[in-house]
Amino acid sequence: MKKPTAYKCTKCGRVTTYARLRCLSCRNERFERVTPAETATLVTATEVHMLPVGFDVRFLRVGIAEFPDGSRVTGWLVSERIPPGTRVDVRWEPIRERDGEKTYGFTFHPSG
Amino acid sequence: MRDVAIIGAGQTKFARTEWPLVDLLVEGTRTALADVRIDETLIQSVLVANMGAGMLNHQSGVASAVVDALGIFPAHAELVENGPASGASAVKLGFLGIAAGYYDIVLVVGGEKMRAVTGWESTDFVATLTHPVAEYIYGITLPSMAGLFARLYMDKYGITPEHLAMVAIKNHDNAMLNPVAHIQQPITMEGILHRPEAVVNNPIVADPLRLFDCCPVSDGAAGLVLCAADRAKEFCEKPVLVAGIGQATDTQVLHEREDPTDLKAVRLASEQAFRMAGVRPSDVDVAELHDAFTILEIAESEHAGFFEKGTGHRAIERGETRIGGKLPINPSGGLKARGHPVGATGIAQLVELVFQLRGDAGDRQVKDARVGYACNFGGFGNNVLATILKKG
Repeated sequence: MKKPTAYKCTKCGRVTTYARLRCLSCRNERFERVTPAETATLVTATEVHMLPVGFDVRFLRVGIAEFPDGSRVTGWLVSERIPPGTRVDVRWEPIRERDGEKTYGFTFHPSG
Repeated sequence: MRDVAIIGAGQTKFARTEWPLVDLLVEGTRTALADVRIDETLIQSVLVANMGAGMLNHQSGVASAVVDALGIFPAHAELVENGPASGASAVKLGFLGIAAGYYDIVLVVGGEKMRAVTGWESTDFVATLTHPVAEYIYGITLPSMAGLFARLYMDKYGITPEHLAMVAIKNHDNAMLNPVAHIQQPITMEGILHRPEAVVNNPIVADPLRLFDCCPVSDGAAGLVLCAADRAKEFCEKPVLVAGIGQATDTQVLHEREDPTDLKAVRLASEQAFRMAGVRPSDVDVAELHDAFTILEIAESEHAGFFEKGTGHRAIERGETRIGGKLPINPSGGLKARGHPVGATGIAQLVELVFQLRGDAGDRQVKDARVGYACNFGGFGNNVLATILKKG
């Protein structure tokens, strides 16, 4: 399984789960690659029934989760509906296939 | 800076139309020009607000095409794109051109032909506003973002589905009084929430938001004629002053906001507009808010300063935001029922305020309206404009 990468600002320490040219907090342009934590807490989630082009499913569950260091990530909730505040395992998995290539993304699974 | 006035205002009926985009935009300008006695050759600049000509209509250079169609050469022409806030951005740029003394008269028109494509495609088109790697790949759409936001906001402040429905019911009622509104359909709490068939009539779009919590996909155009205030009386009896404009940006990625329930850009844009206009939120008589989703009318009403944070839904319960209430919000029907052709929306909001401040709003007239406020919400609140108009 591929490993996800997060980007930690070398100046202020802010972490984002996607590459940026500049840090959102301090505008520094240097980042250290780090591996995000494997668990997080679900902040909010929604079940979406009106989907854009390219999703041949009835609905998707998407959410925002917060890692122990306070950084957050958007991803798919791969479970029945669970309430905000629930602890989730964060995985990096194929979520779509576009132009014959797998696209990886963050997925959330209830812990335990 | 020179003062700037609005001397003409109008919009097409928002609906599904077969007209090509440029014809739709021209019709939007004609409704505004029909509202003012002016020699069209005096128009020095045409600003066109549009988000999707390239993606939805396979067309570029639409501002030049509008000038061509109107035959008002050699007027300057530019396209203004700021997502769903394109309309208010175009008005701001027209305002600045006149305030700086570069122009005397500017025509601003906004329009969108969204129903040229399927619902899937129009949802996808708007979703391209989201971050391509952090959000879009997951199928995040604007309704998804609104669902994520609504879940947090409702839990934090005790807002119920009934509160959201009250917004929808009010705005549908208002749209019944607006002949150019897209949705002409009264709705009831029973019909959209409590009867067994409500699950079919009002299905989940992005929970907790249901169909009647979301604006329709509309075609339409709206236009304004802006003029140096010291010349306005040459062209109309009742000019309306552009008293204040504010704008603010915020993070593109929703999860990066320190508090995802804080619509910081609405707050900052509103504060700037109120400072510039020299008025307070309590001075506003009528407001047009960007209710693409019912939760946004509640949240924006608080972030603009009309109600304390977490209490906007109580104001709706008390009927304060209905026409005849303490602060009528969205007498036009709002995006929810007037419709939301994205490039036209920010201009249509101001068209409604112009009619209200002139006393020309017919059956939906807010009594003695002298100060109006509009919030045009770009992206999911990552580029917001607040505009304040005053009776001239």
